[in-house]
Amino acid sequence: MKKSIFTVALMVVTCMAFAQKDLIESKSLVGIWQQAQVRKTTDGQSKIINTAVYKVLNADNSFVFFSISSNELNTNVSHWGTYKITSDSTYTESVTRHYTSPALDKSESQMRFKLLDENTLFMQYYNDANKMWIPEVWLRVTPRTPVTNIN
Amino acid sequence: MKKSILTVALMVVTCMAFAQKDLVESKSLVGIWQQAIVDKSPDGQPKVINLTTYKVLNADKTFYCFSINNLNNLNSNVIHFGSYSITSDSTFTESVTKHYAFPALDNSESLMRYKLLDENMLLMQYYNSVNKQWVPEIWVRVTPRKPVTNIN
Repeated sequence: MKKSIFTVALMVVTCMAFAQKDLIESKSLVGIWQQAQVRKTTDGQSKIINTAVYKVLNADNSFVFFSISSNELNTNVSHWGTYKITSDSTYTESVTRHYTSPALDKSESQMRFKLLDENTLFMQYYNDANKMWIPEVWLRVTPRTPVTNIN
Repeated sequence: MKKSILTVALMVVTCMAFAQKDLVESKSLVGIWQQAIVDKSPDGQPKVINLTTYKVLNADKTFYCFSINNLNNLNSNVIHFGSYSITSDSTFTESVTKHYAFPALDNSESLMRYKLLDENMLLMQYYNSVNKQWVPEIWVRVTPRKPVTNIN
């Protein structure tokens, strides 16, 4: 019995040790994501503009949203909860607590997703009121490249 | 035996379910922290100025740091990640598993001193072994946002 408990405990510790690597070096939906918008430049080309909204989809299926909300760089958590992947292109987000809109506490959102490449996520959530899918673009917060020059 | 395994498994699932609440509504070292500096305002009063470096100290004792490198285009990157261990009520160690900005710091360990000035402000010092001195840092907790009452 002791051996079995030890095995389970060891598995838990191992999972925890790898959790951050899984988050940061992920190639899947798991990851730290920054919301972006696609805009047209003056020459008519599409350009991706980063926003200051972040979504962390953890390897343990929990998630948290936070964003910079002012020019003074004040940053706040808007909501958190758990998510469940339901197919290779859909998942559900279950909001445990929504600080900005408390009416959304314990709500669930149906999501569609597609990884356009390893670091670009196209996502749509279903808006019940308007009965339509709303698109969003998210970019992975990737590891920084090594610093070679320090000025 | 099955009962014991079930108990451990249940504990793990419970911990996972509460992990984000522990992180977001924490009053301790656990939390999402934003680095800040203290400057003087024009009237001579000290003023806390937020920076764009974030450190997430998870309840499971893992951590990672990321920052916005460029405020013009908001490009953000992870700097390093690892695990931490609280060694007393005013000290902890950070074990860096991978340091992307400075790979020489992979698998390194830092001694840290800390003091919560209040629930949402953290004074931290890391030991710089080259200069043999404690270097202070101020971190402000990323707190839950207030409910939106007016949407314009």
